[in-house]
Amino acid sequence: MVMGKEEKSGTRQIEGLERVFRNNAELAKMLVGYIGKFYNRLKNDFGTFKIMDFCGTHEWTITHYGLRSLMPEGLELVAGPGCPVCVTPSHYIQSALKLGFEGVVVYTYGDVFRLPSLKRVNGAGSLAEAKALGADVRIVTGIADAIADARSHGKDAVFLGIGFETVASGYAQALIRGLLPDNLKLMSLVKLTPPAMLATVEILAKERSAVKGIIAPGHVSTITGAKAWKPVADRLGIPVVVTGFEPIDVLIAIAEALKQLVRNEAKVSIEYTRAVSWEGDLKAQEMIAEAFRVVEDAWRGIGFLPESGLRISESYSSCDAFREYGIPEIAPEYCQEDLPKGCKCAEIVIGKEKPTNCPLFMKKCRPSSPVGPCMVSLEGTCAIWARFGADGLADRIAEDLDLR
Amino acid sequence: MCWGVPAVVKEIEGEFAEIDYGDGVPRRVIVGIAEERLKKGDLVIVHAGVVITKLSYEDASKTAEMLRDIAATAGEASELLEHYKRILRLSKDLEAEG
Repeated sequence: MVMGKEEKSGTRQIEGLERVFRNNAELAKMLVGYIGKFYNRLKNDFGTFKIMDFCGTHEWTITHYGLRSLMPEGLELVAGPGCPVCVTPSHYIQSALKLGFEGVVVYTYGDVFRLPSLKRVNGAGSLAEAKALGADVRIVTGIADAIADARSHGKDAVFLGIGFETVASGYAQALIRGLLPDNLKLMSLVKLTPPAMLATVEILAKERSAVKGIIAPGHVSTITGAKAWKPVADRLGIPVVVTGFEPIDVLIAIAEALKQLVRNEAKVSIEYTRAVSWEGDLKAQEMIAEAFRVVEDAWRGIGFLPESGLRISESYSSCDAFREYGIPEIAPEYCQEDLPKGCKCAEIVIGKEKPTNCPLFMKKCRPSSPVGPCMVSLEGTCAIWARFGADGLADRIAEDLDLR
Repeated sequence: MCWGVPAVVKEIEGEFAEIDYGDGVPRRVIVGIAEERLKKGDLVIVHAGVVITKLSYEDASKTAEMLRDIAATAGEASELLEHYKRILRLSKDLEAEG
């Protein structure tokens, strides 16, 4: 029998789990033991609860290495809005499609290229389709490529700046140093993660299973510093742990969050000391503050969040695609209808639902033909689940390795 | 979008850096941190075409050591180890060149 893609990924998951934990079994066993012990002390007070990650790479590690299978029953690991492509409203993709058909060269990252728009523009439902229909859409790996290419042809061009704080410092550098040629404008759709973290946890507080601990994004924290999460820990009274991307890092973060809960603490702690400090990169923070203004921004599937987005500041408005092309911002009522019918990305992006509970998951919506935004980006929760599966096989191997 | 890939700085040209992910292909990226912090041979994390942080040689070596520990057989984990080995070696070579 020829193995299907999903079965292959299941096998890979087992191999990964075995490789990592068999060779590091003592440490893994110790951590899983702590997690179980702490959870037992907490379950009478908390019942079922969630630990939430906010980064596609953490979700990848959790899913790829089957870490969910190592958790005690009642402790759920869920993904929060850690994928900027997933939370960018369709309106802005449609605006880019329109520019593309008006003859403006559109520069985009590869995952945004495939992102389906809710409404078709000139027959195109994504930038990929627009390219096929004659629009000049070019995939780049970063703004440096767009700058070099736009300089070479001199035509009107726009760079779709989608990302979190991590890309903002690079864009700020380009704006402040005047690196963008006159013909290239930046459409800043940068989003800020702390407001989304606050909003998501508050929405889920009303659910049966609330978020009691957070695994904070490691690379965002290199720029913002761990201090960015202090308001989250203070306001919500839950531990926030900044951690790295190895499976052991993630297990340590979960154990640390539970330890704090047992001690009735709610602190920000850094496990990822090899890249993250408390203050973060002060120069990068300064550049971001100078080049951008903070705005209330719309998150696809979530709605408007105060102080959660970056648009170019007045001083650099000559580089702003919104101003140059008169791109309208979206009206609040727009957010009600921002996803395709049947798609559960709105619930999945905040960790309220699992991809496997979506009626479209792996039926109509697959990595090769995505319907919802969470299936498009490599970092989208659905795309990660589709590639690495959560099919119960990891449970069996964990039992076999005596990790549970 | 917090996918970050370790790389080595080959050249610094103002706000741009030429980096190598260990595959020998030079790529131009923008520096999102204070560029005076960077020099040829430095190890960095690159995210979506932006240098977002510097890694110390010791820390990157520690990660490689950890990967070596867990990667007994060939596969993805050891691919990652190979990646680390290549950039660590390249970093040393570039530093020796000066």
